[in-house]
Amino acid sequence: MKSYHLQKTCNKICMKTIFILIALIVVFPFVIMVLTALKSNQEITQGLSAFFPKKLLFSNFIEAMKKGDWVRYFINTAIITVVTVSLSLVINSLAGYAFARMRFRGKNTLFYCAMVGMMLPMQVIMIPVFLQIKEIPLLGGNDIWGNGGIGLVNNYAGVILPLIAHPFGVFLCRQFFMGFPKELDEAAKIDGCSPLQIYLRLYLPMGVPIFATLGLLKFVDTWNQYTWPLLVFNDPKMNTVQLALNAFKGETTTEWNYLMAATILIILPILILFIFLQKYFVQGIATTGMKD
Amino acid sequence: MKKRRLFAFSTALLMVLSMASCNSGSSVNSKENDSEGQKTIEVWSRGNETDSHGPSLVKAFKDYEKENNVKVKYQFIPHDDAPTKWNAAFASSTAPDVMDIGIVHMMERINLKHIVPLNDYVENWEGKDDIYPSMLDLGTYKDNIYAIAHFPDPQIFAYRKDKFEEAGLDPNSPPEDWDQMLEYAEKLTVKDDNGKVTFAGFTMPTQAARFVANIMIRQNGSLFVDEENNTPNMVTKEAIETFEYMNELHKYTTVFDNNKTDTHPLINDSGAMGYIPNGVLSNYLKNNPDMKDKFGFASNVPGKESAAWCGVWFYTMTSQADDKDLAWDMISYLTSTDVLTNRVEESGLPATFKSVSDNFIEKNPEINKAIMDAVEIGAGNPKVSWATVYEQELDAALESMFYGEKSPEEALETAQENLLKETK
Repeated sequence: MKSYHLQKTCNKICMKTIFILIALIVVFPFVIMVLTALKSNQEITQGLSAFFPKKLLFSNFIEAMKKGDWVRYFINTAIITVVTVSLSLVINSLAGYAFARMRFRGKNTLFYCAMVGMMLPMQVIMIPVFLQIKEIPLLGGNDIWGNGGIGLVNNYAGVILPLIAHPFGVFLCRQFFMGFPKELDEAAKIDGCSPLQIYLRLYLPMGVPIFATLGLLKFVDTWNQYTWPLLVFNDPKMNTVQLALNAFKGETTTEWNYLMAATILIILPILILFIFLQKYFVQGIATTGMKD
Repeated sequence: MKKRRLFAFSTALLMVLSMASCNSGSSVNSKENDSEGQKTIEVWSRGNETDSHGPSLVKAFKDYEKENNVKVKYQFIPHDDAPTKWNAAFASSTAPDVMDIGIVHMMERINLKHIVPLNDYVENWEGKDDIYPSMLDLGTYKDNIYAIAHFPDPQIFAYRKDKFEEAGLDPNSPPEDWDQMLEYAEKLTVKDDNGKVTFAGFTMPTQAARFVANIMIRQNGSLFVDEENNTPNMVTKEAIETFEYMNELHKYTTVFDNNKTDTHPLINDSGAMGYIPNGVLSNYLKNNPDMKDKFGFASNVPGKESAAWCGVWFYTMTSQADDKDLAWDMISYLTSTDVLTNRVEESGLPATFKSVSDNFIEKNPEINKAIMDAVEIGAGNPKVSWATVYEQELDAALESMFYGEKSPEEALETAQENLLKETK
């Protein structure tokens, strides 16, 4: 009996040690980031011999924000992110609902086709999508055939449109909605609800966890977009925060302390959002794909 | 039902239109003239608005606008992402009029017909006699001048005077030739009990050593490429000698990657002498002023000849420039003595023109003299369309030799074979 308890305690200690080690591995880059943000340039060039800063230079945060119009960059990023996340939730959840509950010809083929899109990285389709954005008819000086102007290049909409719908969002919503009992739909139909009403009155309120999850994932993805806004925007005033980080990088040198300070400020909105939505996030991930 | 559909359609239309209008007011072709007839020119530069180039460049754009009643639309593009941005812009016909490119990009852009020759303009250009011939040559390919160099970025030879003194060498005299450099390297190297180098007598990169190889092959009186016949020329007596010499020097170095300039031993107090990008060293000395007196500088340590590797930033006119005369006017303005003198004064950056080199040297004579000397004898990558592959093969050959996988001759033969396949 005694040895059983001893073994159990040993197991617990081992498990906790492993978890602490994993946590340390995860936290370590963040610690380095914070320490670097508080160091002087001289300490950074000294490498490991100056692991901890002698003096905490909080002024690095202020100096970093002086390099460029950061208020504008945050506003630009916020506009793009909020619009993208909002539209993305509407479109992905409606598509997910249709794939989960509605019957129509070619449903599965269409769904698998959409899933193929999940396998293609953005880098592969970037140039064709960019050409489409540039050749959107009747916008940005274009004629009806999409010629003559710049379409949605150098325009928020040019960044937002391709980011709205993504097969992963559709997949996530479909799997979540498939977990709802079909009897709910049948009862609503008997009460005279149309498919849209069923979505609005049943699926929407019950889908909060998946919307929080998808919203958070989309928020992080959009907030961190780099290459796509870089291609679309040709005006420094439209820079997003990620693009603005380049202010600290030269061809051969990098101002690491300012770069890290600015990065900490940039990830704050994501961190705050995650803290608030954490409960739903875990719930959404845990219950996606479960069937009654 | 009809009403609902109409409502849904109207909402969707409204959404698209509102998104389309949510820009910063530049939804028409950026290169069109405005209603008052004011011309617009678009310029893309690598870097950013706040780096060493940025502020003086922005000032030049604003001055140009005032002096010429032309609207200048400018954008700074991060160095690493510039090719992606250019490719997308050219594919969609939204490229700028004037573009700043690096020496590594030139051949590729010529090949893609993204930049156009400037011969007709250069013929009557007053800066033609002022620019260093070596710099004008860097922007020239098959008798066509495609690019005007404005910022030279040479690798210079730097050495630690204090370490020279400790080793009983004259701190005011860098090595005079290859033999002396090898001898000094041995004297300056510190090894631990296991024979591992802990302090490099010569900083020879193990990765990305192509910069040093490009310097040394020229110093040895040859080239790895036959530019005239557009073929690799790796297996020559001079090339083998160069590789063998580099391999000897590699015995006295700590391992580092030349692509990661932050790790260069000279700025990490673990190397006594070697070639280093001037900007990296200048930046280090700016942040560590107490080290300034400990360094000595030279443009190069000659072999049979003097030679230095010089990266260059160019201004080019794109093939999509609507108003070519205006684009040239902008290039000649940005490379004018006034603009470049202002850049030297404000940012302390070197220029490619003789008229501003004295100003630059005066600012910090010891290091800047070495920089300008390196500019004068500077050369870049071979002017072939396969320069990028050449760089890769050269790095691979050097690495395989340093790690003892291949002899100098074998490494060069492999590189030659691979490059021949590429150029077929």
